Amino acid sequence: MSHPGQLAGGAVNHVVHFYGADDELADSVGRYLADGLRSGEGVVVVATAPHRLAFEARLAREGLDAARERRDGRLFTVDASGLLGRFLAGPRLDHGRFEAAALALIGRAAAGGRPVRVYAEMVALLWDAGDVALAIELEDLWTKLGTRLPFGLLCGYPDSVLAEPGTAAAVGDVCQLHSAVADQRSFPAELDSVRAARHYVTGLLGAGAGDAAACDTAIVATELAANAVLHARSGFTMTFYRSAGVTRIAVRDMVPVHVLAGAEHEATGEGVPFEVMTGHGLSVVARLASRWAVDPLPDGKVVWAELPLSVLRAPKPPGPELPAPPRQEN
Amino acid sequence: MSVTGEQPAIPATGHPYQFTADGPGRWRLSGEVDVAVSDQFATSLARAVGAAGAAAAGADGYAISMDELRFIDLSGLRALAAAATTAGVRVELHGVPAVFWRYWYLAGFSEAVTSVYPVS
Repeated sequence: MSHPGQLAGGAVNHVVHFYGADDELADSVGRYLADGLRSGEGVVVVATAPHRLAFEARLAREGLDAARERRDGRLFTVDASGLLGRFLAGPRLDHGRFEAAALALIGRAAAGGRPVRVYAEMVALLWDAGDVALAIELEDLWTKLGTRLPFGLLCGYPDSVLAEPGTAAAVGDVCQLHSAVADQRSFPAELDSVRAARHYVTGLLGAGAGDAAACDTAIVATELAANAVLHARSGFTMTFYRSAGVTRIAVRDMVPVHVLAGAEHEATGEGVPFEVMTGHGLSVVARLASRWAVDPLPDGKVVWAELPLSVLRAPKPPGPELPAPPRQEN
Repeated sequence: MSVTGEQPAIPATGHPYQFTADGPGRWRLSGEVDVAVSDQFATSLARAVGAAGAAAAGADGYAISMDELRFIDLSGLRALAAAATTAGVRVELHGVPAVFWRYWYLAGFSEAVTSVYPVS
C-alpha cells in the first residue's frame, strides 16, 4: 500500500499507483481523497462504479460522508467510462473535448480558488481494453493540462499490467509521464523473494529509464531485499518511489535493530555501521546511494536508499567515482 | 552467501541461471545469480573448474561467457572470485554486463581479485 496522499500537492502533482487487490486501491485512494477533503481541497473522482462505492466506504471509515461532501460541492464523482465516452472518438481521443470536459470538472472543484486533487482511472480502462497507446496518449493529455492549471492527479492501474508480456516499454512510458511513481508490495521470507523484488522495481522503473538506472536500482533492490531475507529472516515490504529528482527504495522488515550508530548516513563510503547489517551488501548500497538510512521501528525497521537522478541519467556505469575498467593484457 | 548456523533453511525454489560447458576450459553463464542460487552456483563453478583442472586451461586460462547474464549480485561475484582464486589460473570473463562492473568496483573486487579478468 502506498501513501499517495502524502505525495499530492507541492512539486509532485501527477502520481501513478499500481495496485494489487481492489481493497489495496480503496485504502490508498480513500486516504488520498480523505486528506484532500480534510484540508479543504476540491476533490474529483473519475472511477468505475464498484471503485466509487469502495472509495465511499473507505471515506465513511474515516468519518467522511461522501453524499454530504458531494452535496456541499467539495466532492465530485464521475463515472470513468461515461467521461471517457465524451472524448473517445472511435479509435482516437478528441483532445479538444477531453480538455473541455476535464477543465469543466476541475473548474467546478476549484471554486473559490481552492486546490484540487483528482483520482482518475480512465487510462486503466483504455489499457484494459488493449488500447495501450491511447492510455499513454491520455496520460500525456493529463500532464499537459497540469501545465495549464494546477491540480494533483493520482492515476490507478492494476499491477497486472506490470506482468503483461510486451508492455514493459509502455509501462516505462506511463511512469515517465508521471511526476512521481509510488508503489509498495510485500514479499515472503524466501530467498526467491530477492529476485521477485528486483523484477518488481525494475518493472516499475520501466524500459525507458536506461541501463545505468536499471542497473543501480536492481542492485539496491537486491541488496535491501537480501538483507531482510538473509539477516532479518523476515518477510518484507518494498516501497518504490520515483519523482523527477530521485528514486527511493525502502524495505520494511519485521525484525528490530538493537544497535544503530546514526539515523542517517551521507554517502561518504566510510563510517557506515556495517557491523549491524549485512556488511558488504549494504556497503554497495551505501556507495551507490546519495542518502540511505536505517529507521528503527518498535516491531522492525525500514532500510531505505535514494538514488539521485544525476546518477540514473549517467549514460553507462561505472560512475564518476569509479576507475575505468581494466583492459585485457596482451 | 551461505546461510549458516542452526536456523532452518530459507526456502528457495528458483533455478534462474544456467552454467554450461562451452568447450574445453570454457563456460557460458546466463540468467540471474543472486543469494537464492549462489551456493549452487559456487558448487557448479568448483566442480567445473576442478574437473577441468589446471592442465585443461588454454594459454589464456579459463573463459566464461556472460553475454546472456542478466543479473549477478555480490554473492555471485564472491563465488566467482573464490573459484578463480582456487583454480590458480587466469579466468577471463567475456560479455560482462553493466551490473557486473558496478558490483565489481563498488565492492572492491577490482583490487582484491587478480586472477579474474573481465575483458569485455
